[in-house]
Amino acid sequence: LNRRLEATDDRQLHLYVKVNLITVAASAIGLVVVRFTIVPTNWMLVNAVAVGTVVVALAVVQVWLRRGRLDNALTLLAAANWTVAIVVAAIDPFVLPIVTIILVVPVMVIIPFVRSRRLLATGLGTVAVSVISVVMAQLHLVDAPERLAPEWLKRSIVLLFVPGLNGLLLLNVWRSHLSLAKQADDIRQSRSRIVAASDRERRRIERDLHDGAQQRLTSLAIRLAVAQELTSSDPARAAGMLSEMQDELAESIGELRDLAHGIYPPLLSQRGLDEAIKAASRRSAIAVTIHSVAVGRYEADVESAVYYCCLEALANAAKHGGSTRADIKIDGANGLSFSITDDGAGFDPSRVVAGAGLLNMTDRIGAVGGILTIDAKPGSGTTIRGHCA
Amino acid sequence: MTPTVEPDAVTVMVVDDWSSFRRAVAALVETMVGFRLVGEAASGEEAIEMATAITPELVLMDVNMPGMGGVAAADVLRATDAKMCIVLVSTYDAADLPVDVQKADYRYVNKERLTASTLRSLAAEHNG
Repeated sequence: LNRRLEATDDRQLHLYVKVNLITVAASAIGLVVVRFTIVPTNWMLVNAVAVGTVVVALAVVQVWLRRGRLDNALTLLAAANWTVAIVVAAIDPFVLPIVTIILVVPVMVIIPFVRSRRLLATGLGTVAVSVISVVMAQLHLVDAPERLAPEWLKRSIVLLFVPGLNGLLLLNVWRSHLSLAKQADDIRQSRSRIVAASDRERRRIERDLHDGAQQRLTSLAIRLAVAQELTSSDPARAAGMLSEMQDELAESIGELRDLAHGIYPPLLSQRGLDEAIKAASRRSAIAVTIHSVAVGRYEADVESAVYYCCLEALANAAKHGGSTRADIKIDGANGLSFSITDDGAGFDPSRVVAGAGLLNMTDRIGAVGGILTIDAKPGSGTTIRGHCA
Repeated sequence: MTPTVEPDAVTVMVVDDWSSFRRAVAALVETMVGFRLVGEAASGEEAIEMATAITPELVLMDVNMPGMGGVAAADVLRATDAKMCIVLVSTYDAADLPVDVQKADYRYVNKERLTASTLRSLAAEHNG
């Protein structure tokens, strides 16, 4: 299942499930009313129970969506829709036009949230269930509702539900469009942020090189020539100058080493994420505990994204959160998951506009196809979780 | 070698926001007979103020400095004293300098190429 949902605005999906729930609940009540007024057969109650299970299923879908269990939610939505479609088609063959629309709902709902393979599988499921529904309707296993329901009622139900359900489908198409457009927009923004961040970083490196090592080395080149001149006329002074220059050269080498390390930590490319993060945590301003399980080697861009994410999270914890310690967990057992938990002040994500640091982390992980979630509450620290497939 | 007072010495001023370069030039000029460092300035503005009092003959002016920058300061200095020998210096390649610096009518020397013989030939060229 596509993990991009966290990065996607899923309010539209919640709205859709709510509308669907209300419609289906009203239909269940309607069926019970019809049983005791116009169509006096208990098959109508069987109908009502079938539709009622969808109400329960949709309620569960809502809860799962709120808890971020999108995969389960969408599967349940499809299963409930398809089951009720088959049951209703078998009991009331005259509702077949309505059933054919209900069958399409699951595949429409999942469009913005799943990868192509799952969309295709759901599409094939839709075709299969539609064949079953039509066959069930043709078999006439039950004839009471068909026989007892007056023509006007059958026509009214079809007349009411066909346009109504088509409206619901349209809402879904619109929702999918908005969601995909937003994803495209997010990707565009993230891409330009990544380019800008990379340029900013190169400018910083140029400044650091120019203002640091280059200035020192330039001055050393001039003084080296002076010392050379002095070797014959004033050897003692030349020796003193050379000694001074040796110290300054050592400082320049140190500066260059730090700078090179900042550009790309050598341990990360040589030994991988586990050792690089352990080394980085030893240099951190706060105490860091690392738990790593089955961490192997990954694509260089994935290792670098996770590494800088951990570094950024540690820096944020020390700088903004007032933390004294942090826990880093890295788990390579199923894809690559990681989390950084600090004991700092935390914040309210709904009230804090994502700063450059948080956006940077989201962009980096997003660029390698992963997801990042930020779990923070004022007063109870911050946990940043990431997963790369 | 302790520099003796040489009344005919070429007076040199160095202008750079980096003290490491000013120190290196001071060390260089100190060893050169016939040259004397008369001023060190950390910005173009400071150089203009200083130059009116000390009127150096040779000015080593860094191109990139906060404030007015080296080229603008050189223009002001030349306007006050057309005879002043102004040499622009920086760590950049000449090709990486802004067009206005490349077009400016000043000699340009890479900082790391600044040696006693460079300074002597610059002064000789200017006087000759």
